[in-house]
Amino acid sequence: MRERWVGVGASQATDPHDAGREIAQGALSGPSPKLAVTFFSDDYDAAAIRDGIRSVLPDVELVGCSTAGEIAAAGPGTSGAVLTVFGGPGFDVATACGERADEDTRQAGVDAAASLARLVGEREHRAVIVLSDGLAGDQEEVVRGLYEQLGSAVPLVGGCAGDDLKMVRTTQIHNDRILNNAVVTAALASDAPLGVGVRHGWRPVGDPMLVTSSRGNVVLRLDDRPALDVYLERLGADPSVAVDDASIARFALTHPLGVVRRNREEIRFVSGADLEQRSLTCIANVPQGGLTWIMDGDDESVLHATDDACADALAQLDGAAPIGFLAFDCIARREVLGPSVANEVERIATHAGGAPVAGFYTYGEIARTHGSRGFHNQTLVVLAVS
Amino acid sequence: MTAPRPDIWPATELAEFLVQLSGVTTVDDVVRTAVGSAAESFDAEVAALVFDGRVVRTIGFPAGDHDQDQVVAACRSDTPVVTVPGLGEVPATVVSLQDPDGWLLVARAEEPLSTVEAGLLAAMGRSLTLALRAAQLVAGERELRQAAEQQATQNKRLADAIAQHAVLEQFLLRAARNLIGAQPSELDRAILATLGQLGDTLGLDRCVLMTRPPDGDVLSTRHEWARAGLAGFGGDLDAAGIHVASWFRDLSTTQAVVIAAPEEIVDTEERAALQALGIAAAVVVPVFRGSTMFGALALINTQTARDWRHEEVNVLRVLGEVLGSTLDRREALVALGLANEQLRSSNEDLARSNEQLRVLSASKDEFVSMASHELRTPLTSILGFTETLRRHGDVLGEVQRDSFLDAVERHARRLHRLVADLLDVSRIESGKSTGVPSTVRLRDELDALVREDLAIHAPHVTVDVDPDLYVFADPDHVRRIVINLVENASKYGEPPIEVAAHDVDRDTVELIVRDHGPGVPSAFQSELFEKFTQASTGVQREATGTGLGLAIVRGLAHVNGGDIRYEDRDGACFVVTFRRPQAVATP
Repeated sequence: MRERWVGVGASQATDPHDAGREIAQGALSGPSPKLAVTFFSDDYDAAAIRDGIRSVLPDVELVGCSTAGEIAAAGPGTSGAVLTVFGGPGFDVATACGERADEDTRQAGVDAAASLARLVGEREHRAVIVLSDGLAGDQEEVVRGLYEQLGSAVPLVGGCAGDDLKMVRTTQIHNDRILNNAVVTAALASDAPLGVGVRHGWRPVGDPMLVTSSRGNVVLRLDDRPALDVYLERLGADPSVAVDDASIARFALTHPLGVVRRNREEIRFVSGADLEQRSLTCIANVPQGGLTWIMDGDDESVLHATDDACADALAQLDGAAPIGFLAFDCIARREVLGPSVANEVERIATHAGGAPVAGFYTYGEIARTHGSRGFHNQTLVVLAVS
Repeated sequence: MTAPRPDIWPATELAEFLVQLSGVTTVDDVVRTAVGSAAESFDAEVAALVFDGRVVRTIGFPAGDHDQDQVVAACRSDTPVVTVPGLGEVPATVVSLQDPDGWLLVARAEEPLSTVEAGLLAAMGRSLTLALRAAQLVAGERELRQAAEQQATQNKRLADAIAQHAVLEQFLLRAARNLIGAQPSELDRAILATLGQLGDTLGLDRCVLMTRPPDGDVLSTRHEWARAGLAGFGGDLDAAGIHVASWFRDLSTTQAVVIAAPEEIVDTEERAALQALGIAAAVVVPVFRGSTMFGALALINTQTARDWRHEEVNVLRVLGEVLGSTLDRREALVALGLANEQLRSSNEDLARSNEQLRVLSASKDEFVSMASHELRTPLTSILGFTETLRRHGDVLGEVQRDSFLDAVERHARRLHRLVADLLDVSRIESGKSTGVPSTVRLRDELDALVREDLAIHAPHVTVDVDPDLYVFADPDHVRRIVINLVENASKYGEPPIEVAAHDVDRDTVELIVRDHGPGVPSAFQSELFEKFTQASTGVQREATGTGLGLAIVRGLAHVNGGDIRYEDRDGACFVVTFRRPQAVATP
């Protein structure tokens, strides 16, 4: 009997219950299933998906969320569902959730951290998979809440749920509960190493800009001029791209801001603008007084980051072959890649070397391996399991 | 395209650190933000803050799982190292803080902090202590401001209370003056005005004075003021379904019942009853008269709850006392009026008796003058005849002398009867003529009378009396009553004269003497039984009575426990009542 196994099932079935049943049947590839992680289209009824999964896997710990597109070894998809099952006696799992993230985002992170404490056994290698409602509040606070409880001993990996870019409401599943504004976690413990890779593939271009005025995630002034004007000027953009939030978000998808860190740049996805105030709205904080760059990327750099992330994750497996991959890929990267996004999934599958791959397109990525920061934009996060 | 200079990132980190610190104001938030932000700034796993040798906060250790001593020891060490679960020993960088004294520690697993980073950490430590001091100042200032606000609020409350107190005091003075100064007849109006002033002063919906009867526990509205637009309370509270026995029990043992809000009433029935009456909040105080509670004074809010102030309850209590004593005083005044009335009435009685006495005295004088006159008339005649006989007896013829002697004799007899009658009247009136009552068989007496004393009237007299009819009286008195009445009838009436008697009931017998004459003129009937009435009426008669006969008859009837009355029955009809003998039942 295999000590550990990972199975992935995917379905495009119209009926959510059928989809749930099919992905569970597809993912159940060994005895003693422990943890089921599902990603599904926002078009599906989450409760029906859950019931379909439960019809096959009545007892496993179940976590999941809605997406802006699902990833399976077969390729990227939308309007479908995937399920990853971790099974075998070599895994220990526990789950938890924090709720009302819209009221107290940090506390939701603190509450969600309870899964690790529920783990029994003393297996050496651990990771906490995090599925959060990115529309509920500042996700850096979720990570702070988790880190405050978990400390540095365990990596965090995961992403923010999506709703096919409707940006209205996302859904989380924790066992039999269907939730919104929640942070759901699954703590995974194994005797074999777990690898985490984090890469974005964006490069800073031009001179840095001084953030002369910002409030949280709203950049008011750059180099002491209205932020939106400076941003559009730098990019030589036609002012017609700034008609409304949607047009700005579409344009900015491939032109994020970057915040410099000690040994990397963090990406800030520009999600909208205030046309009167001439300010930019980002997905995470852009500190006043700091420097920021316009970031640039293309198919090549993004795909290069995919390779790097997978390689980083695999490198942490101490030479063991992976038995499964989980990928949390920013929806913006998919937009950058366009039709060639299929290449990205192929590359991940190639790195997986035949091991099953599953994941989803996210509204923000979570990966903390060292340090205490762990929230990312326009980034690919992979978890390699051996 | 220019690559970023590698040494500019600390500016971003310091900026973010400062921005985050500036966004928080409480000491706790400053500590939490500083520790978290310090770790994030350096990509470090662990950060800790120590003040006064005590770990205030850490990050990077699993929650609640840090060793105080190892963190403090690391802070004090020249080569600081912390052991972190999952990471093992991690070299740390420590900067010391001043005011308050402490350390800020950061430990990064990847590599120790560079010299530049250590400098940045020192700057952060300095910023942290400044932010802490600012937070403390803010907290202190907040406390001061709160204290000042509290003081201001308290001052305002005190000022309000004093102002309110003055208003209430003025109200009480005016109310007491109006109530105590009111005449009894004006009191009701004064009470109503006082209730209205109280309602206006306190901004209430109703002020009600309720009373109950001495033997009941039903409260009735006696005086009521309601704010404009509010219908009256109406009559009995009992009619509205509130039986207030328990209220009275409470009121007579406490000085006030205070209801701030309907929810305070535990008894659900009572609460429902109060709500039905439209009472949301109320103060009720008892009104005593002497030691008896006879009513209650109530302040009522119909819609809103009200936190009754101590002074308001007190004012109501004092007003209750003033009302009680005012009502007491009115009672006393009314009682005084009643006594005056009685005095006046008895004065009138006295005046009336004086008048009666005066009339009596006058009639006595009249009697004396009439009696003198009656006595003088025959005496004058007698004296005249005897003087004529003495002077001229020798020249008068035999017949004439006899007739003079007859006249003398007639007047002498009249005088004799007059004197006898006067004596009788006097005896009867003085109560000396009591008689000796016995059982008298009426028929026997009457038959004997007609045969003997009334022989001359016998042809005109009929007797219709059952032989077995008895009366209990002095036989002599009975005879004299009958003789008087029959002679009276023969003198003033027309024959035949009927004498009859019959049972009235088991105690009484009526004797009737009736003639067929013109009867007694109605104007004269009321004085019929008075003395000398015959003489004083001026009715011209040939009769030669003494004017005392009927008075004597009445006196004798009274002496024997009976009476006499006059009736018109186609002639004069005298009805005398006698007692029946009790020992002798009717055979």
